Amino acid sequence: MSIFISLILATIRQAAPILITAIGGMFSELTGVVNIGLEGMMLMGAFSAAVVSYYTGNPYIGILGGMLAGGIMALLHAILSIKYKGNQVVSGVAINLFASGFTVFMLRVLFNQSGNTPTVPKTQTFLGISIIVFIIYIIAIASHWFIYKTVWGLRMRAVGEHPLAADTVGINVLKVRYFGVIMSGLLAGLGGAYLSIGALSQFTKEMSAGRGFIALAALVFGKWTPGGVLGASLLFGFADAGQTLIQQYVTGVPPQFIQMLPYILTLLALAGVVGKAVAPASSGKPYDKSDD
Amino acid sequence: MNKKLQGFLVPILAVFIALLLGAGIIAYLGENPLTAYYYLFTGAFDGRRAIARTLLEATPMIFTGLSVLVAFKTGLFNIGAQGQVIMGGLAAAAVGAFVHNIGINNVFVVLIIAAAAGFAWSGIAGWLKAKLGVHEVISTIMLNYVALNFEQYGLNYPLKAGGPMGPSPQTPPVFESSRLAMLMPDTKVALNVGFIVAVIAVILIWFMFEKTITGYEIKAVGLNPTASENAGINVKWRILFAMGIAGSLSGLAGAERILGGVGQYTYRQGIMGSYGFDGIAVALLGKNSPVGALFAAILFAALRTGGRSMQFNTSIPSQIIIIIQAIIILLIAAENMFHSILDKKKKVSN
Repeated sequence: MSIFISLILATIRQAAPILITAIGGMFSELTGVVNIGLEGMMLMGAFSAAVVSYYTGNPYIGILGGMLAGGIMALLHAILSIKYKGNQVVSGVAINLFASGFTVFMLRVLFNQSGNTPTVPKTQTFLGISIIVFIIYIIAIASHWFIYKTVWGLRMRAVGEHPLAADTVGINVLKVRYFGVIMSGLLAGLGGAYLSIGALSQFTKEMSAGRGFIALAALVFGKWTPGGVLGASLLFGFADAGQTLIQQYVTGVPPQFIQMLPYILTLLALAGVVGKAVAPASSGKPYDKSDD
Repeated sequence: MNKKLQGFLVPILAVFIALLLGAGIIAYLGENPLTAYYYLFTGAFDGRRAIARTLLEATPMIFTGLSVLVAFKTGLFNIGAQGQVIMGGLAAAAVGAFVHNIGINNVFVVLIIAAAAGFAWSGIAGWLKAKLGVHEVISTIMLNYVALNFEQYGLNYPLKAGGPMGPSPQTPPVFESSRLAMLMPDTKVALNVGFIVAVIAVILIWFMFEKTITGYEIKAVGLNPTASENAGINVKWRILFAMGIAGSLSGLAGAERILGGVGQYTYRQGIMGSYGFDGIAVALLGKNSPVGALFAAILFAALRTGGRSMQFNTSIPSQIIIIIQAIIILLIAAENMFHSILDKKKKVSN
């Protein structure tokens, strides 16, 4: 029984950073801006949260620092892809690269370390679970209400599906897109903050370890809806948390095959084997009034 | 200013601005940017050893740059080069180190097998795109992570030197017959025939796009799939073909790392670096031209090798090179910014 409960708690914990980053990605993609820079935004969030927590001694200011760093990266992505109509995928690739170089660079400059920061103050825990996890689930549930029950949510979906129509009825397409993209960075930054000052009390090099891409998978597998994303994140979190347990009972399955599962499931979902996943219609296309 | 000249100027401006911003960071950290860049340059080009190191580092990037380029020309974004590099490398290591048949573990055959492995891997994304309209960006990202896990599986179980209980997660070295010959053995740098193969690939890809009907049709599909379809081009087949070629080029990049002796002819953790992602930077900076990609790969490789010498001789961490590389890509992504600035100048001068 206690194994069962600890497995559930571990699933909830492991799913949290994936969930919040995927919800962030949803904010961006629903407005029509593809964001594959989530991984980098998360990494910057993790790093900045640890650094701010180190210098202020207050992990809660650290959380804000992490979100802000993710938000700044997202602002950069927004300016490139919305204002200058740059290639959104290219911009995302550059942000991931920048984050991976910048964080290690700053580790050396600030702490003269190449692998991790010193120990920094971490957030409080409840039942062994960081406060940040609770914040994450509250935001995830609130995002469902926001996207389906508020005017802003309706505008976001309209802009993502048919920007020209949205523009015609007086919605400021560019403003809504800026909002969506910046939200994605703030939330990915929060996911990163959980990694460094929620789960641990230090930043380690490349600590996002592909979670930004798993979040992208969760977003696609969850079909761009908050409920779907929640389910997908919990499933992926379970695959992660349950690995050791699964290995105990199902012998002969190497752990790598269990780790592949989220990606394979997403490929199957894309192929329509597990319910077809369809992206918002204007996804990836810059909006220009003079087009069409 | 005309579009063609602007197209040529943008990459040069991007590199220049990124180096300038890098100099700003170096100065802020209290070092002399000129001294730092002096070590960067000499580390990459001063002497036969330095040049050999730079070209060795450039070799996989030339392959992956071409890989991303071929997909770009078809209107596809191959983010999956990294996974294709891994699958090519694993295939090369598996055949080169485990198959005892002289006819099969011959270096030419192993290269072809590695290219075929890359072809098959990217072919999945190509097939999903052509058949079901699945966006290749998402599918190739997913395939990258499947490949990464497959790599860990291979190195820890079936391909591990000394069996699953072996000392470390790496393969045994490939047989002599599977190895690529060294080009400058006196320098003790593993620069090998793979570099020549990469240059030949540049020429072949150039030839394909400029002189063959297939290349022409691929470009047409990239520019306008609907019009191509109407003109009688089999668009789906071209997408599958181009994606496959892209994968086989990346597969060769992986094979070169193993067969060229970079890690004592073994496949070990981390040997594939980030060459697949570097390919994106290379193709972008090379403005989608095969020859441009060749030069872009050498430039990024020079930054890498020079960066190490800069870190050794100054207090500047070598990661500044990654930051500079990221800034270059960001600037190219924001290409329209340059065009609007350059066009404004033109209006003023009129």
